Amino acid sequence: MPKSPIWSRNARVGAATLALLVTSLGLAACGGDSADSAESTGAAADPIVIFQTNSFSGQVSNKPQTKTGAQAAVDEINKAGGVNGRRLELVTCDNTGDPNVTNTCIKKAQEVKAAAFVGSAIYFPGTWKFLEQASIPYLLGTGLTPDEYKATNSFPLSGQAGWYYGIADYLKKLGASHPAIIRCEIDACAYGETLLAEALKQQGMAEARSVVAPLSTTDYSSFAAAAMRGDTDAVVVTGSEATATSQAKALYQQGFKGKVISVSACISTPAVPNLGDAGKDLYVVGLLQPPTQGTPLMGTFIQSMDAVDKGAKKDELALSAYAGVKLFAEVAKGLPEVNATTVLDALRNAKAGAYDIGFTAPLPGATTSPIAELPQLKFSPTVTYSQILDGTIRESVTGFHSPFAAV
Amino acid sequence: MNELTFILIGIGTGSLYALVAQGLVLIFRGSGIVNFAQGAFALFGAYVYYNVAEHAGASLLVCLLVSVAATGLLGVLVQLLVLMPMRRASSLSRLIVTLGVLVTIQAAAVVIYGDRNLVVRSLLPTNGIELLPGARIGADRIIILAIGLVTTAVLWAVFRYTSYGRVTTAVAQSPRTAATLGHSPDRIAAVNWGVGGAVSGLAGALIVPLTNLEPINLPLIVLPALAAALVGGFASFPLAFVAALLIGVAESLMALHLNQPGVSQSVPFLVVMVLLMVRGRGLPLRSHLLDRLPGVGDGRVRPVPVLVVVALVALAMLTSGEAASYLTVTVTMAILCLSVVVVTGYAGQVSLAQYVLGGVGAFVAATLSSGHGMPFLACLALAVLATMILGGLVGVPALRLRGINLAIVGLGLSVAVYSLLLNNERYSGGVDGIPVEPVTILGWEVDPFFHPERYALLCLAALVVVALMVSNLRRGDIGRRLLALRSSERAAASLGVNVYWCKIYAFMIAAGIAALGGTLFAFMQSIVLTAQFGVMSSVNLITVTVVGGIGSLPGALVGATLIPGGLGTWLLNGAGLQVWLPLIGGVSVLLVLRADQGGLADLNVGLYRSLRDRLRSLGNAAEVSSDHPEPDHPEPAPGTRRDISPVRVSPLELRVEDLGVRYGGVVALEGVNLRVKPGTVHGIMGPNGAGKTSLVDALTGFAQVAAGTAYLGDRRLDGCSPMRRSRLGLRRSFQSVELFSSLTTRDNIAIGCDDGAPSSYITGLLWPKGPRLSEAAEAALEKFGLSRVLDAPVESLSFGDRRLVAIARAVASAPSVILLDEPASGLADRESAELAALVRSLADDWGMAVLLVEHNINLVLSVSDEITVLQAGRVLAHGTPAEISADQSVVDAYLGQSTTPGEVVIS
Repeated sequence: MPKSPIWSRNARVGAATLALLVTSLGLAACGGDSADSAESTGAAADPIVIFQTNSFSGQVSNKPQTKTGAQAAVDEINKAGGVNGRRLELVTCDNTGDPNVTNTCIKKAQEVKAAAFVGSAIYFPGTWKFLEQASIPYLLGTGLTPDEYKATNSFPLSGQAGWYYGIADYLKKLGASHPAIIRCEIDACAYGETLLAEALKQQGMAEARSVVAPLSTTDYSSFAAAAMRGDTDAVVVTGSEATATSQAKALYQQGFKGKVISVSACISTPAVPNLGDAGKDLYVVGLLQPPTQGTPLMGTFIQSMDAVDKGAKKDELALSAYAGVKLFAEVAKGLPEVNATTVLDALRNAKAGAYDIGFTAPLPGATTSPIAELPQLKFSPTVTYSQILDGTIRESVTGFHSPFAAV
Repeated sequence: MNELTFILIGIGTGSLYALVAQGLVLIFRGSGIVNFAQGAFALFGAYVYYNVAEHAGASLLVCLLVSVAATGLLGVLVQLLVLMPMRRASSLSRLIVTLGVLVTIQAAAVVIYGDRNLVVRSLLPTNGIELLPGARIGADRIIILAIGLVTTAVLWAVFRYTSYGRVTTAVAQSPRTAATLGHSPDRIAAVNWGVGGAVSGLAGALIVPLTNLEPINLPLIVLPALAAALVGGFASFPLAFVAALLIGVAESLMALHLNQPGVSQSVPFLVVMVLLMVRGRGLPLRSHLLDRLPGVGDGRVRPVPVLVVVALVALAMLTSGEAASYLTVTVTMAILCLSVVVVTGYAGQVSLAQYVLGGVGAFVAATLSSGHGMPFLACLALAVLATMILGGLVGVPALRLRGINLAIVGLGLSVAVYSLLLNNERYSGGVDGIPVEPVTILGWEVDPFFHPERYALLCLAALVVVALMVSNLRRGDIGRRLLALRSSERAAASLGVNVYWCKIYAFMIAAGIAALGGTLFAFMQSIVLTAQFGVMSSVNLITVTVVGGIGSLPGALVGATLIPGGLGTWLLNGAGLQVWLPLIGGVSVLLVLRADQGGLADLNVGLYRSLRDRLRSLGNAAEVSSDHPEPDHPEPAPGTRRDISPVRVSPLELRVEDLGVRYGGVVALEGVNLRVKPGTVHGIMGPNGAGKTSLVDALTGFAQVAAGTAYLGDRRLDGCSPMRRSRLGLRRSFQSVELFSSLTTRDNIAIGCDDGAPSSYITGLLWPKGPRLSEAAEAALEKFGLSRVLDAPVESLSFGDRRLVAIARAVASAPSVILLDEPASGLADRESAELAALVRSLADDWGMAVLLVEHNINLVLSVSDEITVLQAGRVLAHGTPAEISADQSVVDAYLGQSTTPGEVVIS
């Protein structure tokens, strides 16, 4: 068969290109690992670098207030003389919610020899594997996925486990017995429902009626009606601030008379005006004290936030970023050398209650985790119980509580 | 709480969709464009309402009016500044530009407001009203329902009873005709866009107090509104209104009975898809207007630029791990964009499912790696095969749907696949994802985290292989068939192209390519998250590919750089402009498509050519620049031409017995009998509406026969498809010419000689064949004098030459019978005379049986051996030209006065 001219030309181009790529691959094979260790050899005058990666400008979710919170704490600490006489420097990386960009941010953290991650959000299982291998301590993450509780370099807040075990505990305190949950379709929401189911079982309560409402829902009325059926006396509203407030308003419009309860990631003080009458007596389980609690500590937090960006949201996310920096400073205080390895060792070997930053119960909270499958839950296994009162969120039961007592 | 409660609630939900749906129908009726940005218009209206209420302190009613007016103005501006300059662009380009408007508005909202959830006070009362015991519905829903009813009634009445409504309908059906009658299509379109925008602004201002004001979810209200408008055929306001309410009721009842992830999003679209498939048609009707399509590249691989680009990219990948990661994203996205080029650019089938199909590939590969520990290459191969099968199923709606309908159904299928599979924790692994084995190739570690440069080079190699395959596809038989299908399905089928199989093939190949890109992208993580392959990303993928240049290989590569997470992100991240990237992307879509619907690749090529020509002219170059590609088979040198004589065809008679055709209640043909013998010309004459073209359509399989039958030789033609009839030796030309506009004369003729060998669908990807002309084709080209324009794009030919190419194309396979449908239409006298001689030659020299349908009476009388005259679908007279000329009934009904046979009528 005579050769087609097209085949000949494309074949030649293909062969040449593949030869080029094989040569390149050969060059790449001669190279070593691109992962660097995170050891810092910094002289005393060098700043201590801490790293933050979050979605500051993603299309779906953007949390610039976390950057403000972290920076506010860094500025405060530097004003007071720094950590061990050294200035603290915050390096940020916007991951826009993209797992591949997040990986790049982790590599960047290694390159700048970051001593810790603070105020960060990493949701992707694959990324957690890399983060653990990078051996940089990850402080006071929210605890949205199981990986945050399993990675040995993670020291999270009680997160999803705290929220949903807290909801079960709080509902029992409130006298509810037949809850329902309206949740979104994504994996993180499904995980929350699993935790709630286990928590309710531990409390000896009935299984929650589950209503799945897509995140793209415009009108939650039918989902609210589905949740309210039968003997439901409490409804858990979840997802995000937008969805939880819509669900609460739909329940109110449908005439629901039972308890409506949510978590601090969904209902924060900025969300309260949007609830209107639907927010009256709404209950909230939080990971930290509500920023509007009115304590001197919260006052300082708000002041420092305003100094960086007056318009930034002062919610629990901003507070957890702020608290993460504070925790780092507390851990690093007195360490002869401050780097990822020494900070990680200090945290891993800390006795229970060694660090008290005021925003949580003293940390680490326990020596063993209340849930064996989530080992790092032991670090901060407490929650707060709040309620919307007079247009703000305030603690209805004072102090930090472990919702895992029944476990 | 019972079903009735949920039905009432559903009606309330549906009333929200209805307002947006009415805006969609209004804009389509006024301009023929489906506005995917209708939900974004509602978002804009909502933000205006919010800002006036919060900052101007005006009463909420004033805020509402301002919102309505502002969004109406936005609609007018979109029409005047974006769409009016694109009036000659393809419907695909205009569809994409509305997506660009959606992205722009949404991205601007994110830049200004972030993801803040703003408090919006409601103008309407928000208390619940108990209509029946246990059945509560919000007072605001009831009022919105009433507003929707009034809006529907007003719009229906305006379009039915006012001159404005009549003019709008006329403009939508035929802008040119309406313009000649003194009505400005642009003005009508602007008014409709203004009113459609105002309706959406009203919707936005009323809806957001019920939901929330944040930029991400409200634009998605366009999806159920689209489904409602689709059920109404984008024509009926009442039907769209009712459909919207029913969709709301369906969603509400599903919340009660079928509380499974993904179901409530999927079912409305699946129902709409079934409806459309039942209503759709296999092959487009004669009335289906040919769309102006974006240009198509020649698919040539230029060795030097390719090697230079590959070398530079490889160098960047080797130099920096960070560069390797970002470039890997762009390279894998380029593979995905190439899948869009194949199915939409080449085959003309709008697919909004490619990214989701990439996710399916990733899911299959991850499941095989995780569950069965299969090697990476095996997982990849099986993922490609499995997704190709799914791609074939996704292509099934394309057998009966086209254009916007196909796009919307494809979107719905994406929603269904994503909701039921990729975002369903039962299959996706939930928050844990699907962990996969570290990537190794034949024992060599290519793990993307520890060896990003190796993985990046692997992906680059895959891109090169795919690009070469797509180049082979474009330049071989398959590419010509796909481009033929894209230009004119009817003409392609009449030439023996298996239209249905070609469509399925295009979807399958594109799905396989998408699976490759999606798998390589997903495996950048050690745990695969299939939920990241969202539906809006599929929409974004086709958008950037159109911006890059949907008909060309470079277009796919350029488009890929616009996808977040890759090269664009890397370049902008350092400057802190990350948050602006989606807005830049949206505005780019508007600017690029306004300038050139061929996209950035075409713009760059144009710029390059203009610079090259300027440099040449500065250097006083002797050679003249040409935009025509070099021929693959150069013209024979003078003195070496073969002596090409006509080809004698297999003699077969065409026999028609008692043929009848009906279109609904209208009788197009009844009791028609005729015979066309080999070597003769049988003329068909008759006034408009006599059934001449219906006869040709029925004989070639394009119209359903209601009675009677036809024979080709001894073979009965009942049940034979157009393609089958063509293969049996029955060919035709079209009144509307219907050449394949993206191809040259040579390529058009080559399709006429294409044997359609099934093996070519596989071999063509590896060793494609150039256009091959049969002996009959060569003879036709010589006879018709077309050899001089063999390698010219058919769009550059004169009208007369285009008509001749159409006939030569039909003759190229040496058919026994040829049906010519008004071949002299629009030709000058001299050209008509030349055509008459050619027609006679087909019978005398080639031995064909020729059925000639013509309005040119003298032409028919001069060349025909016998003539049949039709009137009102029946045979009025039959005989020789002399007999027909003298037949008084024919004279009275048609001729008017006796005409001398052989005299050519001056047109």
